[in-house]
Amino acid sequence: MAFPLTVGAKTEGFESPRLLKVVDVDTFIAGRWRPEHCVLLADEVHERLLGAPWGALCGRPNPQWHAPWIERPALEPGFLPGDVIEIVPGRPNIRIAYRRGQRGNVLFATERCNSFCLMCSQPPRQLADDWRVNHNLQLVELIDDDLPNLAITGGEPTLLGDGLLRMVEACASRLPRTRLEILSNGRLFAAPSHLDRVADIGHPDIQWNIPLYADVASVHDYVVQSRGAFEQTCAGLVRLAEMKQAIEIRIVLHKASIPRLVETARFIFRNFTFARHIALMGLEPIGFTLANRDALWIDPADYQDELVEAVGFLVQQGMAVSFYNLPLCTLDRRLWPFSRQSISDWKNIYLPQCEGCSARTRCGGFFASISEQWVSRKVAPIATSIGG
Amino acid sequence: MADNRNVSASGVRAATPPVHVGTGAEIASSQVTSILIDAALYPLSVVQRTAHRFSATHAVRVDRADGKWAVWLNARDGSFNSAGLEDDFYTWLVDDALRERIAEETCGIRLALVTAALAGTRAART
Amino acid sequence: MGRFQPPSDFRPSAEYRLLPFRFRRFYASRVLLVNEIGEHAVLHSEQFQAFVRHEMDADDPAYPLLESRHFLSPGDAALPLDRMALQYRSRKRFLFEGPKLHIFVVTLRCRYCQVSRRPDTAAHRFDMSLEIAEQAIQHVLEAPSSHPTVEFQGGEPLLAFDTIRHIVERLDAAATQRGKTFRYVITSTLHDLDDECLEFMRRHGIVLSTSLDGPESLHNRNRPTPGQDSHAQTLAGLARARAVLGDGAVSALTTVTRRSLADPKPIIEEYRRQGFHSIFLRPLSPYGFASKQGDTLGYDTFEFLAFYRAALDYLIEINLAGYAMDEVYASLLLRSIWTPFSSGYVDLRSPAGAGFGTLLYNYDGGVYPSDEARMLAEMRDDSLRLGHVSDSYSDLMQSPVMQLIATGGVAESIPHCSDCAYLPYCGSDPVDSHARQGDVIGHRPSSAFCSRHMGMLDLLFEKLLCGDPDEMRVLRSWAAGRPSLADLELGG
Repeated sequence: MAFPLTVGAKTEGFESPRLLKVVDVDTFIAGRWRPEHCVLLADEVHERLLGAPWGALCGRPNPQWHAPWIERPALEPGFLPGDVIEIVPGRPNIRIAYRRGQRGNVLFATERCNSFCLMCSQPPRQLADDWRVNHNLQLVELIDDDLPNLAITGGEPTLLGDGLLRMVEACASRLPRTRLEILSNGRLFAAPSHLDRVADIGHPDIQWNIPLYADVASVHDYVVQSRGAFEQTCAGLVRLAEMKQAIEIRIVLHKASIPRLVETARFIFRNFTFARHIALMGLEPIGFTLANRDALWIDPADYQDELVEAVGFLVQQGMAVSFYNLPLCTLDRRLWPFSRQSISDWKNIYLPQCEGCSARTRCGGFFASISEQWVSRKVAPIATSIGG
Repeated sequence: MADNRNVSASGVRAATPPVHVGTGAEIASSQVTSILIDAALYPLSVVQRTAHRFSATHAVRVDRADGKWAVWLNARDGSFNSAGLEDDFYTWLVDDALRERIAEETCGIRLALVTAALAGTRAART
Repeated sequence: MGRFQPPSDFRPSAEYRLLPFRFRRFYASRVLLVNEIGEHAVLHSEQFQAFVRHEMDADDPAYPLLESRHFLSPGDAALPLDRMALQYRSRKRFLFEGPKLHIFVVTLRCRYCQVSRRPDTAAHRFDMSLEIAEQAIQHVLEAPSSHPTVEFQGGEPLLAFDTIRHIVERLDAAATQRGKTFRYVITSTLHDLDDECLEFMRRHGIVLSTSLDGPESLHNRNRPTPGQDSHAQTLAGLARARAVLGDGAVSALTTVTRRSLADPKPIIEEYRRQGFHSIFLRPLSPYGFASKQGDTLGYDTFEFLAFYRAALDYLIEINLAGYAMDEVYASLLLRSIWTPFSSGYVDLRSPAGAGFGTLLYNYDGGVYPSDEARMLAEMRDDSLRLGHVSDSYSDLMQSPVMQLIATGGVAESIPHCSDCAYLPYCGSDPVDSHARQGDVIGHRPSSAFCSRHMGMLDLLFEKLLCGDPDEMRVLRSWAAGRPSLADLELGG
C-alpha cells in the first residue's frame, strides 16, 4: 500500500507555517508533547478536553472552537495519531512530515546538491533553503523516540554545514534510540573541515549511506555528472572511516553501473573493507531517471550474471550485502536471501501481474511511480511456495 | 611454465658469488660466454642486476673496456654453456633495465606511500 | 537531454603517471604486474609495452583496470595515496602487534628419544622449570599483541603437562586484566594423551596439532618407533582427542620427504580417510631430524614443485567431487593475493616473523626468534639466540641478534626480492638464509626458499591466468574459508 505524502484539507486560523503532532486522547496522554505542538482529532472528544491550548483542532467544523482548525481529510487514511503534519496557510494541501510506524521517514535537509546524478530522484535546485534546519529541528521534537530508523536526505545534506551538525545533535539528544542514516555523497569529507566535528557529537547510532557507481572516475563522474566526484567520494570514505563512522556503500543498478559491477565490488572490498554494509538498489523511475531512460534502463533480467558474481564475491569475503527495490521474480534465486523489503511504505505497490504470487509477503514490490516501460519482462507470479 | 631463470637448479648451497668488476683472475676460456654491452645503453647497476640472476648456475664476472661492459659467464657444474645463454642474458637485461626505469620513475610515490602508511603509527614510534 | 553531459566528456586523460609496481613474464605473451600494495593485473605483452611507455590509449579496456587496481593515475589528478596507504597498512598490520606467536619448548623428552620418561632428576634436566616458565610468561604478557598464540612444543610436550597447565592457568588468570585473549596449541604425536589432560584442554579451549605424513607405511618409515606403530598410535590419539575436544580441534600437517614425493594421492587420501578438511604440505626442513638424513630424505625444489602441483590438482579434483579440503600453504598465498590483508602466517612475511613476530622460550631458558633458530643451536650454532628469559623484554627485542635478523629480514631491501613481482605475497626468512647459505641476507638465486616460493606462486598464477571456473571456485573457497554463492543449491 502506498500512502500519500500530502492530503487535501481546508484549514483556518493559521497565521504562519506550523508543524503539529497529530494526537487523539490516548496518543496525547502516552506522549510527551505539549498541547501547543499538537492537533487534536476532536470529533467525539469531550468538550472539557477541547479547552486546552491546542495547536489546532481537527474535525467537523465547530464555531465554538477557538483554536486554529483543520478539516478532516476526505481521502482515507488521511493522517493518523502519531503523525506530524505541516500546515502552510493558504495551501490546500497538508504535508505529512512524519508517519508513525512506517519505514522511510526522513528529515529533508536541502534541495541543493554538488552532484547532478543521471538518476536523481530529487532533482536539485540551487536556492537558499537554510530555513529547513530549524524546520527539521522542530520536527525532531515531534518524532516518536521509539522510531527505529530516520534518514537525513536531500540534495546533499553536508551542504548545510553547521546546520547538519545541529540536526545530528538534536537527534542524538532527542532520538538516541533511533538509527540515523545520512544519505550523502561524502565529497565534502574529502578534506578536513568543520564537518569533521560530526564525529565528536557522539551520536550513538549514525550511518553514512554513500553511493559509489564504479571503480573508476570516468564512469562514476559520468553518472553523477561532476568531474572530480569519484576521487572526492573515495577520499571522503577513507576519512569517515578514520573518524570511526559507520558506512554503507550504495550502488544503484543501471546501464552505466552494471558493466563494471564486478570490478566495483572488488574495488570496494580492497579499498573500503571497513564498510559495514553494501546496498544494491534497483532504479526508481522518478526525477531525472525519466529523462535519462536510454542511458539508464536495463532490464534486471539481463544483469543477473553480473549480480551473482559481484554479490557472490562480496559475501564470500564476509561483507554484508542487501538488495533493495528489486522484486524477487527478477532476482536469481541464489540472491533471494539478500533481498530486503525496502521501498518506503508510502511509495510501495504491487502490480496486477503480482496476483497469485506466493512470494508477495517477502517481496518489496514496486515503486508507486512505476510505468510499463520500467517493468522487467520477467515479472510474473512465483508459483511454488518457498521455505522461510 | 613461467621462465624461471631465477630458480636455482638444485637449491644447493652456493658460496658468495664472485661478481668481479674490473680486476680478477681469468676464467678458463674454453667454456666462457662473453657478452659485450654498450655502457651508454645500460648502466652498471642493471648489468650487475642481471648478472646476479645467473650467479647460482654460473660464475660471473663483469669487466669494463672501451665504453662497454664485458660480462663473462661460466657454468658452475662444469658443463658447456648453453647455446642460448647470451639470448637469455639479453632477455633479462632488457627487462631489468625497464625495471630500473620504472623504479626510478615511481620511487617518490613509493616513499610517500610507505610513509603515509606507517609513519605516525604505533609501529613507527616503537 | 541537453543539460546532461555524455560519457565522452568524462573520458580519462591520455596522460597518466605510473604507480609503483613490479612485473613477471608468463608464457611468451603475458605479463603479470603486481603493485606495491599487492594488487595484480595481467596484460598482453603489447599492452604492457604501451603501458610502460605511457602510450596506452584511454580507450584500451586495460586502462580502467590498471586505474582501478592502482597501476596508473590519470592526468594531473591527486594520487590516491590515502586508500593505497590503507591497503598497505592492512598488509603490514602485523607490525603493530609485535611478537604474536610464543613458543614454549616445555621438555626435550619424548617417548622414543634417548632421554627417557623416568621421573628422576637426570631426566628433568630437559624440562622447563617453573622459574623459567614464569619469566617467559612475563614476556608473553609484556608483548603488545592482544590476541597472542601460545604454542607448546617438545620433545613431546604432553610429557610435561603439569608445566603446560601451570602456564595456561597463569596466562588465563592475567588475560582479562591485560586485555588479551590467548589461543593455545599443543604440537604433539598424540601418543601420550590421557583423560585428565584432555579434560583440561577442553576446559581451556586448547587445540592440538599433529604430524600425519600419509598412509601407515609412509608415516611409519618417516617416524620409526620401537613398535613400528607410530601411525596407529597417532590415529588412536586422534580419535580420543576428537571425542573430547571436537572434530575441528586437531589439525595435521605432513612433512614431505623423498618417500612422499612419488605420489601425493595416497597422502591426500589418508587425510580424507581420517576426516580432515585441511592439509598442510610442508617441505622438509633442513635442520634437526631432517638434515642428518638429508641424503635419503632430501630432494630438490623441482621435485617438490612437481609433487606440489600434482597434489593441488588432485585436491581440486576431490573438492569438485564434493569433499572439501584445502591446502594450507596455497590458501594463505591466495589470501595474500586476493585480499588486502597479510596471511597471518608468521613464517612468510616482510619484515620477517623471526623475533619480530615469534619468540621461542627453550626449556633451558634460552630465547630464540624461531623454532629453526633453536634447532640450529642444537646443532651447535647459537649465533641466533636472542638471550635468556631472565633478560628484559626490551633487551631481548633490541638485542644484537634481533638487529642482525633485521638486516636480512626486510625483503624490500634484499637483492632479487626487491624487484620480484611476488614481493608483497612472499617474505624473508633470515634464519633460513643463515642456516643454508651462511648469512642472514643470503643469496636468492641459489636459495631453495626462494625457488620454492616462486614456484608455488607461479603455479597458482598459472591457474589464475587460465581462469578455469571450477578451479577458481575451489581456490576461492580455500582463500575465503567458505564456499561461494555459486555452490549454493538452487531451487526451493
